[in-house]
Amino acid sequence: MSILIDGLSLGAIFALIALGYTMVYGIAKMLNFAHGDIIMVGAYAIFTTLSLNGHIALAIVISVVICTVMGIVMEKLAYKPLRGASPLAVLITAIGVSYLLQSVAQIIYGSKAQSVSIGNFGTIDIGSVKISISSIITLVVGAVIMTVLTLFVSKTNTGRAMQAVSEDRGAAQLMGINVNKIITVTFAIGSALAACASIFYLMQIPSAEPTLGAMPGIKAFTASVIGGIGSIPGAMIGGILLGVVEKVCQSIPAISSYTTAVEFALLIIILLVRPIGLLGKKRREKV
Amino acid sequence: MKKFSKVLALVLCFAVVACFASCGDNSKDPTNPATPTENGTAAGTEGTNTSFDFSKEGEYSKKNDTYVIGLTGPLTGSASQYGISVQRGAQIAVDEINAAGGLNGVKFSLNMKDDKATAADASTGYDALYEEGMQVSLCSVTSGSAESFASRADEDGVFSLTPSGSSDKVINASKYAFRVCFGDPDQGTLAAEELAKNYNNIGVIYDNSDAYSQGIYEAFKAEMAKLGKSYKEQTFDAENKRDFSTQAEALKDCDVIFLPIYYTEAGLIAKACAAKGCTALLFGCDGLDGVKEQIDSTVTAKIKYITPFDVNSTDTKVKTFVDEFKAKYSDTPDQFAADAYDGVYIIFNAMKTAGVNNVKVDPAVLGDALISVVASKDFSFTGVTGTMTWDASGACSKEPVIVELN
Repeated sequence: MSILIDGLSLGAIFALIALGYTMVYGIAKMLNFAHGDIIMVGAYAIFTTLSLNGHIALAIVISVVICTVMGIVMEKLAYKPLRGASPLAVLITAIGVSYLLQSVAQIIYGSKAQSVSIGNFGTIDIGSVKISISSIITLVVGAVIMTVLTLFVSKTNTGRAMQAVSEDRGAAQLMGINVNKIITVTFAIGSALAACASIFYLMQIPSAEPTLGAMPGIKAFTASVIGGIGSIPGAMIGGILLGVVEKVCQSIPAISSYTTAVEFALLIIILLVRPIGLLGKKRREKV
Repeated sequence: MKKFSKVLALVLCFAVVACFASCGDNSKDPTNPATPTENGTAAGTEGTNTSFDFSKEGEYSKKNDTYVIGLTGPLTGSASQYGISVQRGAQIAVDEINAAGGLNGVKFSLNMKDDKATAADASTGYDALYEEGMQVSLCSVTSGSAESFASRADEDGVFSLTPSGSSDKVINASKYAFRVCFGDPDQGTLAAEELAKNYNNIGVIYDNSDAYSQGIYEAFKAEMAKLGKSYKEQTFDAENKRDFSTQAEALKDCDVIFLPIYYTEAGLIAKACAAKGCTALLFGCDGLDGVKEQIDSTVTAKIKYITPFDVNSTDTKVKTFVDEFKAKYSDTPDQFAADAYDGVYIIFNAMKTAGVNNVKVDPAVLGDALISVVASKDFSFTGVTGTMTWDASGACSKEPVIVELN
């Protein structure tokens, strides 16, 4: 039971990161591999604010703001000049941005892990099981954020414009939608979600280092592919599924050493059975 | 395609040559255990040992006007904090010895080369040191480099006392190789004895992708089996070493959790335990040295670890060393610095016992004299890392101190 809650809360973190991947892919048709490193930026923003004796609420706000700005700057400087370039060039640029962020963090903060404490919320007893409160907070707040995002995309004008751009960029532009603006907004939202993920991440794992974002980034990318890349509900389901699988695997001694292998095997199996992912949309190629 | 097969042939040629080269190195290993009795009896004679001809001058050491202690270690790169610690600790000892008049008026000097914690650079560094007149060495800082250094030193018969190369491969590489630190397996055995004696419900978390952690764990496992005690184990690996909530969950009912790992992960485990409401004592090895910086007020668990060197000890020797280190480098010495400090004194005392009286002495003559002195039953040394004795294998036995972090 406790493992299930842990898995769900880890899944919520994966889902938040996966949303960033999937939205950027859906709208800009590119894989932003630097997305995982935005989490690291968020974590260091919190670390810096806290070490300057800032309040935790202030740290969270600053982290979200810095990540959002970082997402916009990244898009304007690195990706916008490449709009229309071959997808491979954009992909390599994304990997380059990822290394850049990691190296800059290492220069500023060093390679040693820094201890960051958002505070110990303790545990509560439900029947005979102890459940850590931070897991519950992650789960609840994660669910709220995802609901708000879903409503935003389906109900607001900007959200509908995002859907339109995702459907057909050329047609959307002809209908008077500012595609560049929509892509920038997408990056901003994705990065803000990554900042939220970094807060939850630090609640579970209270330490920051330059390569912090790499593994969750890859796991979240896997989650978004499992769910069907480009699909928002798919990213949520993929993230939760992967989080639960990871925690359950780790808790079974016989296979705990193979946790990562099991997760990626799951990806392969799902892609074999359903190449578009669980909730991916099939697109007919017109000849 | 033709070009490719040529390249392939060339690569294979190199591979074969490399194979032979490394076989050559390995073939020296078996000579090591065969010699102990011979050395043991040679040192049986008390006091000054006259069976060695110290008047023989070395090819490169004949220009020396001080006794030269050589060593390599990482001074740059990601492991540089360890090499720099060793350099500082050793330098303090050398300065102290020289201030007190050296060995019969002859001073010592330290010559250290950067090996970036790689075996190849340790070997190159060894060559440079030997040609610059090194007569005795502190080997190297990290296990891989120390193994490479020791196998080179074996060819020339240079005495090599590593402060911190804890893997058994180091002392097995040469009969001239000795160590100041504990061996990895020793700590596992010690921990098993200590925990089995005092606790019933024991858990262990180790890193199954790391040689240091596994070395300690294997010995722990063997000793626990011998003592007939059961325990719960959890593992992690290089890919998954940040999230420890599952491990903490599985072991939360334990009285004690053994952590044969490095301090970064130990800090995360301490925090994961706090979040899970686990109050077990955390018990670690010398790798836990720096855990204090990794934890904060949220961690309520008690943390203890085995270490030969306690920086807060009230022992006068330790206090003098710590104060001197702080005054000179405005930093607190860690275990590497302490091991190196003792290492220099061990070499000094052994040379004194052997009755070395020639500053230009040949390294090989000195090497033979030193192994017979250090491995003898009469030789012991008390320094900042405790009282130590050695056997001919080069392994050091000393009393561990169990320190509680507060």
